[in-house]
Amino acid sequence: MKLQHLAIIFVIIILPITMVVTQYIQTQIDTIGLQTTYTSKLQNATYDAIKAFQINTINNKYSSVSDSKIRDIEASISTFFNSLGTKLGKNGIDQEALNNYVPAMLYVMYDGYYIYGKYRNESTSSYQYGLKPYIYYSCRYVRGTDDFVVNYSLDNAITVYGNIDGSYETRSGHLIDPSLVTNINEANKTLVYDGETIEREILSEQIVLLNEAGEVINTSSPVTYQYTVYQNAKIYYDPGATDGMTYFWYTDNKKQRIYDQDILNYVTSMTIGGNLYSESAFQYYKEAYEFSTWVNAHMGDITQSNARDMDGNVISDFAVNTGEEKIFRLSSSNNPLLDGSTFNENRISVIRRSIQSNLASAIANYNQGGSSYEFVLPVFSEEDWDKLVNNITVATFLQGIPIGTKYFNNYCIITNDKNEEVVTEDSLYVITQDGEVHLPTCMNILDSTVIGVYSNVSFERQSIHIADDYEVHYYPHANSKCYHCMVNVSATYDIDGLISGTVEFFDSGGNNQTRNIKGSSLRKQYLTALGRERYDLYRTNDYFGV
Amino acid sequence: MGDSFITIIAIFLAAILMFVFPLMSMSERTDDVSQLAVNTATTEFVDTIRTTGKLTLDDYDKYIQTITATGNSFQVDMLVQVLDENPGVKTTQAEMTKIGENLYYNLYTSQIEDTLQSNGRITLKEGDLVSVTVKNTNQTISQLLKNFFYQIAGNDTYQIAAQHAGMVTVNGTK
Repeated sequence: MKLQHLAIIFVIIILPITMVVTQYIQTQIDTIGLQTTYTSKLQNATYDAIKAFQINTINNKYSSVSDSKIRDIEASISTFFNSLGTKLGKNGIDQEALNNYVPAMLYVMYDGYYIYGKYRNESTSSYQYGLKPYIYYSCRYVRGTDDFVVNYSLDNAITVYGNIDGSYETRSGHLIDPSLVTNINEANKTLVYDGETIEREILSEQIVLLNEAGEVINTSSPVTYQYTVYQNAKIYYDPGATDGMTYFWYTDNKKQRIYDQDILNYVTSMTIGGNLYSESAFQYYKEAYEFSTWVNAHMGDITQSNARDMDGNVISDFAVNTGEEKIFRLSSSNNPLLDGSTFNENRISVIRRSIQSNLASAIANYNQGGSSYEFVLPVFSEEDWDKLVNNITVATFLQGIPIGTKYFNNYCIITNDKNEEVVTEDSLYVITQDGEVHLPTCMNILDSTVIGVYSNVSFERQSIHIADDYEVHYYPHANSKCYHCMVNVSATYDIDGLISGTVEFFDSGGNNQTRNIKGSSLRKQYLTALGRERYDLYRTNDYFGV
Repeated sequence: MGDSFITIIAIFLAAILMFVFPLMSMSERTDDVSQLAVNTATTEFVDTIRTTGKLTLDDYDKYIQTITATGNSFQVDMLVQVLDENPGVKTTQAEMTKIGENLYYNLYTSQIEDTLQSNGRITLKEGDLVSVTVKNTNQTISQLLKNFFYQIAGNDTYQIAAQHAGMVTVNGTK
């Protein structure tokens, strides 16, 4: 056979092989390429959703009220579908079709969560998309004849109801280590918490007021008013008022007169020496002390082995096994404010278990309705769980979109720490004497004099829409942000150090240093603000009292 | 005379058809796969920073390992744009109808690497921008072969490149 023949035979064999391999690799490349694009788009859409929720809640004075919250969440869901629909539009998937690929969306709220998904409407015998009923982070405990349920939340607040020590109890409150609270002085409204005196404080912020005609009253700049919070609503104090409204609510950006004499008596009693004071921090620690003492006495011996599922079986699949450690025995070794406490481990385990089982069933149920793809809950990483159990979070799932050789299946979890749902330890900002605002854990303010600590929401820009081309903007607190901790997040330490009073950090030489900050103005103001902001937060179960 | 001339031509053609063509084709596939790996790794690396709010030495090392595992050497350019809202706050304070501008200041690859070496991490906040561009600096076999047949001019030619960027969506914590 001639050499030329051999060459031709070789080419005939090799050419198809090369072509097939090229085609195959190209398909794989397209698949993975599509997968990464979809993942990015899912992330962006989820971010849009949580941003929509944040903007709506910050600018909505009633955002914490349940009906209003559902409206905000529904707006956020429609933002998600809008955003994802626009992004995937060129891939031929419109908003309508997207519903078939999103088996669930999870909204983690303060004391429970919503799942958006498909459910069967029995009255019309059809499947519908919508928010399923709110689910609380609850766990049932049984001890002898006692049988009660504890509702956890994203912070140290719990609600307890059921038979405890022979009587039916319904109580709600914040848990702290009661041994840290001393010297409660009801007359002066002072107490000492872990060495820091908690007392009345003056709060102030800037607002823009409109007159009855809807025009801005003071067009040059926002005006600073002192305020206090009465039953979760701010009452402002205008000592120089000529319209008779020395105290007023701030509704629709206008002054609203207070008619209720009880409220007027309250704010008058809180006005001392021409200043309006807030005693929320004192009330927070006092009530938390009373509640924690009660919990210690009646629930102090509860351990994980008392936990029961709905069929009455012992729950043994908690994420963290705390064994015989007493969950509600509050002491310095189980301080609910600190991350690693037994209470906190159990709080996280309960939240995690509840979300996992309900989400898994929601996604699995999605299969009913005739889709050929089998929807399942993906396995979350530990880092994802850490996000889910500590903050307001949105988790979205996108499954079953055909991409080349396989189906797309991914999820995205994005947290939000600027909202009016929860006050986390990190979500307070500190104003120092020089007018700068810092994160509470900024290394540069350990020795500074702190003049105020407020929730991070009040450092966000607020906008008032007056006419089509006329909007005014203001910041309730218009402080410039520290370049070491807020603009460039670098010089910070762990928040538990600030709460416990011992800060650990690395010095410039890389050595581990500890420093005692008990008695500093930073810690006193921070603990006061943490109590005040949590006390003033609207809570659905608040009326149960201590 | 004429017969041996044709034989020489045939040997040349056979050499190209049997050796160079398959080699070129396979080396291009290799580059495609490398391109895919680098693209995926870059997207994942940037998305991790965006969703966790932090850039750690660990993640960075892993990323570099993944892309160099393709057998090529790479030049990685990172850019972090740190959002500074202060000018906007100042403008709004002076004039309520104006929102003002946000400024970004930039951290470049060498600064980022320095910080990572000394601190092990860079913490970012919501609104910061991060972008990573990567391209190969060696000549891959497919580039070599291509250059042999048709010259690609200039020094800045590369075969494998990826780019991903986005906004950080969460405040990074310690």
